[in-house]
Amino acid sequence: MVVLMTSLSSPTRRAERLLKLYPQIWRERYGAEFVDLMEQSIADRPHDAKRTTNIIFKSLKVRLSDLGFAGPNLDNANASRSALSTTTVLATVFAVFALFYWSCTMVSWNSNPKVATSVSVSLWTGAITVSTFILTLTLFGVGIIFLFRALKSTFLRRDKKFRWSLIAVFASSILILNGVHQYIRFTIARGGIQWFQFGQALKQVAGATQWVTQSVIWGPSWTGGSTFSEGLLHISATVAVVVLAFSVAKLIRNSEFSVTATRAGVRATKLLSASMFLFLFSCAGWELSGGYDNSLMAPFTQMEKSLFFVIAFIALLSLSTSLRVRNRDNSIEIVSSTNEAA
Amino acid sequence: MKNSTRPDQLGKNPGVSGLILSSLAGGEKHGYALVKDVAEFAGVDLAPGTLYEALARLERLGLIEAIATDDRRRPYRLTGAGASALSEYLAMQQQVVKVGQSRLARGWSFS
Repeated sequence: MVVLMTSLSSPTRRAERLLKLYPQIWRERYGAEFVDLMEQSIADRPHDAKRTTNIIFKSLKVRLSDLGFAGPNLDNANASRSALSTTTVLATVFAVFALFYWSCTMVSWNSNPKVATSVSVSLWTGAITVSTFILTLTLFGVGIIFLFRALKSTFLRRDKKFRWSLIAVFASSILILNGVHQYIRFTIARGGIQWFQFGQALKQVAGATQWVTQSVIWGPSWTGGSTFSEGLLHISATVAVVVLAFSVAKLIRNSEFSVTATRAGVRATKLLSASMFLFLFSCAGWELSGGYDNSLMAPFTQMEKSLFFVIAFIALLSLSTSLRVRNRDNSIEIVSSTNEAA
Repeated sequence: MKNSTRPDQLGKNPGVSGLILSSLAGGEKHGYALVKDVAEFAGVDLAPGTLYEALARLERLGLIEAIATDDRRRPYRLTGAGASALSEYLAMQQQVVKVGQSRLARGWSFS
């Protein structure tokens, strides 16, 4: 027992436990020398609460930095990758809500047969449509590019690091597609979407989107319906979207970034953030110009209004991440010019 | 370039960076040797988290570089840019010391 206790509290063990507080990329770079320093520091002063607190706070800072939320990243080459990875997760959550709010505005557009929707509301609805389209298309593009790169790496180079992420991406995509199919079955039963009548098609797509996004948003707290399968469908849709977002983010984090890919990653991060803010701005315009008026749309519930603030916070987090990438790029330029001068 | 002489060249927390660069100006050192040296010449106890945060920052800024070794004790050394940045930082600190001392001498007396 004494031997076991001594072993568990040996300087090496304690140093290794503290090292685990740091993210993997940091451990790979500084792990060995950190453990060495800690062993000697613990030998000098076995118990030091101030030292432990210092490590806890600094490691938390490194973890936040690794996600693109705080301070400069450990490795500048990884800054674009971290920012894009984090923004992809944030933007996916945002996109679900954006698609839900877009579908509500689109379904309510010209819904009152007695009063035509005003020009200003129509313009703001258009702006909401465009921003949602840019956001969704950018996310889709990012997902497809990294999926293709991961598949290429897995099958051509026999690289195993993407294996589990790829399985998760395909499994969650199947669940989402199944959810979409289940929710648009009424539209399909009525002859499908009338693609040749653009206005009608847009309304039908919005209606189907409303069903699907509602399912994803309210999935975990869903109480409607009476069958187990419907409840499972709601919950699985939410889980699948979360799994898909994190799996694509993992694919991004594990990918090698060339100089061109780094620049493209920074641009994609900024485009995602910009489209989120364009969406929020358009929603504010729609609301102020009387989007609810003259339509048969039911007012948003208190929860739906509150969730709007949640996505505004997500947009702010994303903006913060994209601005930090820009700052890091500047710091690289300063260093290189300093080195040249030296 | 105009950015090479900016006052915040040592990045955030220039005090800690200045201590580390001053220590490395005396020769290459690994983490523990750095902590001991700084404690000896400045009386400052650098906590491990703070030390590695500063080392990562200085390395990223190109002011120090790690020397490749098989040993887990990885030594660091000052780069040319680091020496230049330290020189500018110390000159600025000397100016602060000079102004502070002259103002103290004019308005205060110590018995």
